Amino acid sequence: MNKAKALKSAEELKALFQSLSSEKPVGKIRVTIPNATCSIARGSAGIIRRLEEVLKQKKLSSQVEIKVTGCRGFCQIEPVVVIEPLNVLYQRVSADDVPEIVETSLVQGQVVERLLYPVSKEKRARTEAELPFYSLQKRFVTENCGVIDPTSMKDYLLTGGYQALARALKMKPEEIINEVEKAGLRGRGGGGFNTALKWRTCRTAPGEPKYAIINADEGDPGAYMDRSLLEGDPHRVLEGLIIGAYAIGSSQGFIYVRHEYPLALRNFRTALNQAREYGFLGKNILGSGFDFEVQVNQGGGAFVCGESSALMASIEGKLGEPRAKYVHTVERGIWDKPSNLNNVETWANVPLIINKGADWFAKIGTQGSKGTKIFSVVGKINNTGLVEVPMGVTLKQIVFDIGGGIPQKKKFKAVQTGGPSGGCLPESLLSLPVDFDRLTEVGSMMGSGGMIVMDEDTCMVDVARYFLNFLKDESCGKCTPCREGIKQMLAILNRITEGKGQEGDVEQLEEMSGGIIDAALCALGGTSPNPVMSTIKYFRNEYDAHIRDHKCPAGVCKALVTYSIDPQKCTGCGLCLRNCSTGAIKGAKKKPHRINPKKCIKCGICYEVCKFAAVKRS
Amino acid sequence: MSHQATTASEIKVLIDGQEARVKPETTIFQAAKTLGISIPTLCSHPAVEPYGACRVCTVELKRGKRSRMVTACNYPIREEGLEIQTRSERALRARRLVLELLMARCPEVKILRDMAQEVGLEKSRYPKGDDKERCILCGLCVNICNQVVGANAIGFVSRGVDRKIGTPFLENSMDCIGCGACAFACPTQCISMTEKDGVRKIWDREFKLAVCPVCGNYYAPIDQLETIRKQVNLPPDHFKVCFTCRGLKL
Repeated sequence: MNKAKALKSAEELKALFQSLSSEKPVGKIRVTIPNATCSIARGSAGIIRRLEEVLKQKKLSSQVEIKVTGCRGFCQIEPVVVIEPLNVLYQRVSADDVPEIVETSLVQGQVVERLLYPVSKEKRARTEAELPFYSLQKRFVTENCGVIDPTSMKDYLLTGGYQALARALKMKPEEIINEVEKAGLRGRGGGGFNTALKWRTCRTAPGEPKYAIINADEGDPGAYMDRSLLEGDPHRVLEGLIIGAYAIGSSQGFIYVRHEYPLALRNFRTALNQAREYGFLGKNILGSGFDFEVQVNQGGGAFVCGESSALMASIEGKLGEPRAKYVHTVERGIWDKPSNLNNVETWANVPLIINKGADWFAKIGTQGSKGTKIFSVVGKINNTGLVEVPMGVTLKQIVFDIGGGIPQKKKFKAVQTGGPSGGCLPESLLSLPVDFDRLTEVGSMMGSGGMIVMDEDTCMVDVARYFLNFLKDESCGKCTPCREGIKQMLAILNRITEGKGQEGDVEQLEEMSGGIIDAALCALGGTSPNPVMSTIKYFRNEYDAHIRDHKCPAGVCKALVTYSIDPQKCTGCGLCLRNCSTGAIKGAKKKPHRINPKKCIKCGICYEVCKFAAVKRS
Repeated sequence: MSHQATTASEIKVLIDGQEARVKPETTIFQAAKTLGISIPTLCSHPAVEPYGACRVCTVELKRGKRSRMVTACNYPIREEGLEIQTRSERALRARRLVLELLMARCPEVKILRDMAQEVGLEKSRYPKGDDKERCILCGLCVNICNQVVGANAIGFVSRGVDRKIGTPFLENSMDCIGCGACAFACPTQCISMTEKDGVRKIWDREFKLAVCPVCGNYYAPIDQLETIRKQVNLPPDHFKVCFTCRGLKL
């Protein structure tokens, strides 16, 4: 597109929208290919290249529009190709499938059956709407992800983009805050704090300038909704920020993006440049007299910099460590000025509220948690992906109806919500409606929306140990309880998983948890005992089995597991012997084999490969 | 602190049952001091901004029925109706945890043992760390060097359990003026500073000491005197004579 002329009013934006809407489509056929981080990892870039080549060869380039988009959420079936108007979705496509797709679908208008998603053994789904993964979802915040080209301002404008901003700039700032308040929007980054209240406090706090910040330092293991939003629909996040900045009275914005998100950063930078060009950033935005600019800051890889005061210290160029927030950052944040920080997803909700109204928004969700929430459903689950559901949907619906349950017909054991400082919830809580308050009540938290599903092969003591180990590595080390306390709790957990646990260990862990919660400086430290406390609360029997019986019921903790071969069942096929990396298995052909415990490193490969269930784990 | 209290009116606050009247933004620590109540601390010092890292000064704060734990060193009193308990069971539990953890880290540091005894803690149940470890990472040295000396010669290195204090890249720091304020402020005396034959050694660097022409004693590192002289724009021979002799002369 040629360099755009900056828009000077809401009317000019409207006129541009109308002229863009009346433009004819580029080709008769549109092929949409998501090319976000997860798709790229599974080969989408190669598919796009191949498609361009084949179309060129067949002289079809002018008739087919290739739309490269962000992620559609269903990571498990990437790379995906969607063809319109044929209205078909192909999954797990490889570059080698491209010639067939072009010939069959683009030239002949037929469907390549084998690339359709298998709903069951007999049935294959033709469109996205038929996939169970999307059935319960309400994709509002992610509506454009995987649909529009995130690097195209035109695409975003065609969805009605920046019209919420135009509308907001005609409102009084306080009216916007009231609208957000009426909608009941709460922060999507972890705390679930009332967004309108935060904005109002920042607006009325003394001090100029005020800062508005996007927190894109998403660091929870297994969580990537913010990345996906920035990669797939950066303008929506930016539009939300500009509206919020206007409501707060901020003239300077920041985005703090973690270093590990290069594509998200690139797409957001593109969006920033386009927004400047079109006059959505800079001086006198849309003729309203409101000025706003945004600066990009990249994180250096510290988890703790997702915490607001640490993030702000990092923006100032100081050591990224939290400070006490007895005086909130909305009053004294960056350079001691009022600073309002919201998570990517929170900002992305703002244009939706302005466009559709607070009443519409407040109808979605539960009493205390309004709207939708994006979850990243990962772990031992069939349908890995990003899921946007109304607040109040049950864990069961997310794990089983949308997530498709546990692979290999294994039993569900727990779901970990809220990132490393969240908690593990057992099967008995599967009917729990998921919202901010319910999750906190049961000892976990919403966090930023990570959900890690665990099956029967998971040892809960080991899980607690894993998360505590993560937190040990990511603690900034400023305050004693977090730095030294996590280390000592981890030592106790290590001891338990090594079979050296003692009576009283669990009680000591509980006592330490209470002390750390009370004495730690920031929320990261204060919530760090959560994985331990929730696993003790719901899986105490596993701790007892480790400590009293020196057994790991799930067979995970190596020190407590031994492998042996049942001579009755062993056929002497030699499969285990060939797979054993340490030569611990001996035996003649067609004779029962034996494991030498001195050489065995308990990797469990023999157990996995045996076709006759002759390898016993105890 | 940069923020100025907007009102000069005093706020009533209850600390361990005693009433104090303080100006807004007064910290719990300062308010307690006016009542003669001393709250233990390791990382705070009147010369620097409260840092809130050691957590020894954790106290229980009640407002109505709600109770929370805060650090006395940096909690600013800004509203009426606060009731603070510096030795409630919950406050003591938090303090014990912190001291027990620090004792495990630095088994040989006396001030920790003394503080622990004060809250009824004889020894740490946690595995003992290195006997030689004396640094509790309170950060006082870093904050003094930064806020008082203005040299920024030392800082925190690494994070989490690997955190330590050091010069940039753990190499000789040319920003260090050898003033020794860090060693002086350290509550556990873990920063090594030695003087021999007119040379002070600190942070792996040697600093030549100035000799007083009057009494003939070594009195301060030349680097330090030069830095201060330039900072405050004093005449070249301002520090020629040692502090004691200068005092005598006046």
